[in-house]
Order: sequence, then structure tokens, then C-alpha cells
Amino acid sequence: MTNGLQLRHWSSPAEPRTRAVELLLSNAQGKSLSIAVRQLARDIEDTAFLIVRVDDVDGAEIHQAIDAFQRTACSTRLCLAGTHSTLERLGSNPFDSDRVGWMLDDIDVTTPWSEIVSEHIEAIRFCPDFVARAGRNMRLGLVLEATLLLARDLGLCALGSHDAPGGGVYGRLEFDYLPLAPARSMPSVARDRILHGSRSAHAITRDR
Amino acid sequence: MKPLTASPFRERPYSTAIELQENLPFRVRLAKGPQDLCKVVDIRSSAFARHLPSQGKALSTPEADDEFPEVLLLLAERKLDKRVLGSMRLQPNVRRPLRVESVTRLPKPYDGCRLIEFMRLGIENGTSGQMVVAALAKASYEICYATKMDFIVAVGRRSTSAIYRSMLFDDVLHGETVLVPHAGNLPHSIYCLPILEADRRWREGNHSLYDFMARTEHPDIHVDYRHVFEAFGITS
Repeated sequence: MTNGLQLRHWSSPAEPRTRAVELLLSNAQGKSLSIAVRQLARDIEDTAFLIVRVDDVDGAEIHQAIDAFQRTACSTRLCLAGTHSTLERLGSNPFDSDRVGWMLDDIDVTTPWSEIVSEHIEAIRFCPDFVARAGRNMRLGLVLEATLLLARDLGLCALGSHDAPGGGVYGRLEFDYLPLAPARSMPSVARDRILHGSRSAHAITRDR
Repeated sequence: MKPLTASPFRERPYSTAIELQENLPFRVRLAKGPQDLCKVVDIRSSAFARHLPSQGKALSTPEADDEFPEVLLLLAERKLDKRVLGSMRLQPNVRRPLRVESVTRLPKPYDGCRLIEFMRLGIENGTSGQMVVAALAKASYEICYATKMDFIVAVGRRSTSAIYRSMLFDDVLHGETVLVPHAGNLPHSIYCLPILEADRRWREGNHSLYDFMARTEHPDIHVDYRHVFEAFGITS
């Protein structure tokens, strides 16, 4: 049962369109992270990865959640998201696993590149406010474009937001994933399956 | 060429020891099966289409060479969503001449040598994706060393020649070019790298990739050598 878990859905603008799901912990209705990810694992086989932001989660609980997720048969990748300091708090080799990775969250103009090039990072997510400001300010726009280029060169996945003119395209670069418009996000996986049963139904952001 | 035997212990092709182990956000592996071939064709076609639209269209289906038993297709696949970031074809002359030999005769020193042609390098984001290029290059070079190839051969048009020059390849035609029908009929240079000299060249030249290649172990570059030896007809 996944009722009650608040989710945000993400989709790649590029073909073939792939999708991801984010578990929003503020609405996990008091469930432990382990229980929540275990419940979700049953229903997200057709998504590429599951994002869970863990900055406010205790280190031991994060490790329990990783264990719980790995015990499931789900082939989806678990992508934990947070700041560099949260990653450091988890220890030197926190993801001794084929199925778990780390996303550096809240990238903005102040994020040091030394954090982005850290070897455990496999994705970055830009702060929506920064993306919005970068759309209005050329200097910030150049920072965003340079950061996207760095992500490309490293082979990282870049998650963005719609809060920018031009639909998230910077020069010849664009975000790999964008959130589905909130109106189309559903409160539970079960409802999502009913409404968005096929992968193509998630082709939402814009044409390339 | 006499048949080769694979050593049970694969020797490292570098003269320096590993100093660190590093994770990558993607995995490099051999493509296997029709699904992987589709992924390789997709990335190759879109990469070529950016520079040579007609070529991109021509490459939107697999080439006959892709299906040759001795041909290896390498791909780099993002861990997060398994999206393919890059691919390359390795085509040895163990069963038939190199593709480039249909265009021109290579100079005498290459007669009777074990040659392998690097072809169809395709990277998702064009000139970016440098880590992916480096990882594909490392995997390819290590395959060449393990299979006792003598020279890597590559053709490059003006824009891609920089990659081979930066890796300290020799310009076989000394500045001359040949028209390559299977690459848009554009003028291409031909580059060669002697496998047994590569480590020394990169080390003595303080090459920026040397630490990545030689001093760093990358568990995410995972080549199935049993498949490689089988493909190249090397008995164990």
C-alpha cells in the first residue's frame, strides 16, 4: 500500500522519455523512511530512479532505508539527495551498492565545484530559485550554463526546474530531467498508475 | 599473423602502480545483444547528425560491421537511469582488413601487423562528455594491450583530429588526407598509436589523462575479457 506517500514526478525531456519519482518526506505521515521506501519499491518498477531527500534524516535511518530498499526485488535505483555536508556525515564510502547513488541538491551560484566533482555524486539538482534568477540575469545564466557543462563533462545527470524562460535550455545545454507540472503530480503511486499508465503519457515538458 | 594465447593473468599496460580507486557516475561495458546495439546506434546516429546530418541519417540503422563476430562495441551507460552517454566501435584486422584499408593502403611498416581501428565514437553531448571519452579510451586501450595488438588506427576529420593528436597518436599521412566514403566522403587524416609505446608517451609527456588511465582504478569500467578473447580468436 502506498496511499498517503506524497510524491513528485520527474520526466526526461529527451527521447526516449524516462521518468523518476521523488518521495516527499514532509508528508510521509510519520512512517519511517525504511517502511516508505519498501512500500514504494513495489510500485515503481517502471521508473528509472527514486529520489529521497535525506538532509533531515538521521544517518542510521538512512542506512536502514538503504538496507530495506536493497532487500526488495525492485530494479529501480535509489538516489539519495542532499547537501555535501550530509554526504560527509554518511561516511567515506556510504554507497557500497550497485543500486544506490547520491544527488547533490540545491545547486546554486554559491556551490563550490569541488563538491560537484566529488566521486560519489552521480546527479545534481539545481535550486529552482537559482534557475529562475539565472533566466533573468546574464551573469547567473552563465554560471548555470558552466555548471551544466561541467555536469555533462563528468557524465552526471542534471535535474532542473521549469522556473526559467526558454523551457530549461541554456545555449546548447538542457536539463536531463524536469519535474512534472504540479497540477499533474498525483498524491500516490496508485493514482499515478491509473492516470499515467504508459511511459509516453509523461511526455510533458516541451518538444525538442 | 600467428594465433595468440591469452594469459590467464591480465597484465596492466602501465608502468606505474595504481594509487587510488575512483567511482564514476556511469559504467563502461561491452554492448551485447540487439537491445544494446539499438542504444549504440541511437547515440552514434544523433552524435554524427550534429556535425554531418546526412551521415547521422545513414547511421540510424546498424551497419554490417556492427554484426561482425570480431567487432566490439563499447558503451558508457549512466548509472542513475541507464541512459547511454557514449559508444565506440573497435574493429581489429584479425578476420578481414580494417575499414580504412578500403580507402587507402597503409604504409609498409604496418604490413602484417595486428591493427585495430577505433571507429564511430559517439558522445551524447558532442564536445562535452570528456569523462566519458576518457573512460571509453581507457577501456579500448586496455583491450588492445590485452589482445596484443600492435597499433591503434583511427581516422579523424579536422574537428575530431584534435582528440587523436592530444592522445599523442602519429599522423600516418604526415598532414595529407584521404576522402572517406563511410564518413561523409570528407577529407580525413589517419592516426596510429603503437600500443607498446603508449604508456611511455603519455607518462613522459605528462599527459593530463595519465593519472586517470594508469594511476586510478575504475571498477565501473568493466570489460568482459572472455568475450573479447573469443571475438578476437585468442585461445586461453
